[in-house]
Amino acid sequence: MAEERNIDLQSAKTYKVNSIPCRIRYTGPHSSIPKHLIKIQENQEIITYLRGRKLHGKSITNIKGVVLAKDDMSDEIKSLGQVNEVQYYEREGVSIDQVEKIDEFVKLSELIHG
Amino acid sequence: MSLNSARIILFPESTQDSLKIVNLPHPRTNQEYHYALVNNEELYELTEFDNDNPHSKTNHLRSLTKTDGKPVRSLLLENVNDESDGLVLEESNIIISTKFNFTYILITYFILQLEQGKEFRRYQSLEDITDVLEESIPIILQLPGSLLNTSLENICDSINENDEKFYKFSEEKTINYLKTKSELISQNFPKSIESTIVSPLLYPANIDEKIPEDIKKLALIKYSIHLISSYLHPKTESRLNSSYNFESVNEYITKIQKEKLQKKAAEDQIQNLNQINAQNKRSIGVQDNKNRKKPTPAKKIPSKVIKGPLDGFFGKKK
Repeated sequence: MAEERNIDLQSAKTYKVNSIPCRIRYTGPHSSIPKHLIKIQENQEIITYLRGRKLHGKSITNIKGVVLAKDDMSDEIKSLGQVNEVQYYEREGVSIDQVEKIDEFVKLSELIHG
Repeated sequence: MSLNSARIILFPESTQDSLKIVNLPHPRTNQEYHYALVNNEELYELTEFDNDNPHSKTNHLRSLTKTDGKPVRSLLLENVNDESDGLVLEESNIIISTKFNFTYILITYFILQLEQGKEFRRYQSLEDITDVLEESIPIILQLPGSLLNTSLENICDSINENDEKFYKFSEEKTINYLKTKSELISQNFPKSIESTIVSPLLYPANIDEKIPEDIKKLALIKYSIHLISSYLHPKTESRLNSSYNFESVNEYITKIQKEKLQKKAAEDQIQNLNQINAQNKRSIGVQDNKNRKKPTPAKKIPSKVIKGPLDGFFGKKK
């Protein structure tokens, strides 16, 4: 069946997304994320500590985005905010090749669909 | 608003004002799939990144939760303007949207029509084609006309009459269009796929030899078709493959594999011989030890007890 959903992407909020290698058993608002993620820029990498564990990450460049969520009452999809940066983290000793893979995927896709 | 359903969609470009989720048939499977129409102009494909890569040899090493087997990853969203207004999302999957070429859907549509015995003999106006397409792809009317126009130009012969354009599907033009795509991809082939899949197949058995340039070029075209084939109906894929002569590449790969097997067999044989030699040496050593006369220990001569002046003192009482 044909389906069509219009989503207005205009939103006042702008988020920086941190993808971290641990599962947090909570979904909801949080008032002090920057206090838990103090970041240090080291060459191409970003170093941070989460509860004492060292994480190293990279920014996914040339990409912007939106945070979308479904309204339970109206079943409508709404924008919660824009995304201006995504930082992808891994534990110390684990390579962050996911960032390069995403970059390569986007470039390949441009060639296939360009 | 339920945050449990929250998803992050990333776009390669920054200007998005409106997004429309539309369902269209996937060109490979012909099953309906979600696509995003951005700013009512461009069609985007949505790909979910969940850190699971079944093609990776180290995929089994990724951390998973014990209960549901999902990747161990969550998202922390920092509000750039207000530090106290952040979000935590337990579900980590990020959706990456990349531009989608509507031509692939049209190719599958026309190829399936040909399969059903339909022939494209006469030129049709854009309006007529849209009417016919609407039966299979009802959402076509919601898509911008420019998408359909550009796609038809890629795969159809066209004529202009009284300022109106008429199109006729051409299989030859379609194959030429796909060949141009394959060759473009082969010239910019993804490095990680080349180093992990293509090059290991082509490396000669002798390290000093180099991969012949013409073979490498043709092999990259062959694997570029594999990459595009995710968006092609199997029939189109086989027609595209048969438009090239990959015999030399296939022969080269078979020859290389045979040589590699022979080299490995020879290496294994040398290793076995070395092992046998080492075992023989050890067993000869053991036999030598058996044959060798054991040195007879020198007899101990008991030292004579000499009576001293104090011996009477420690002696038995009489």
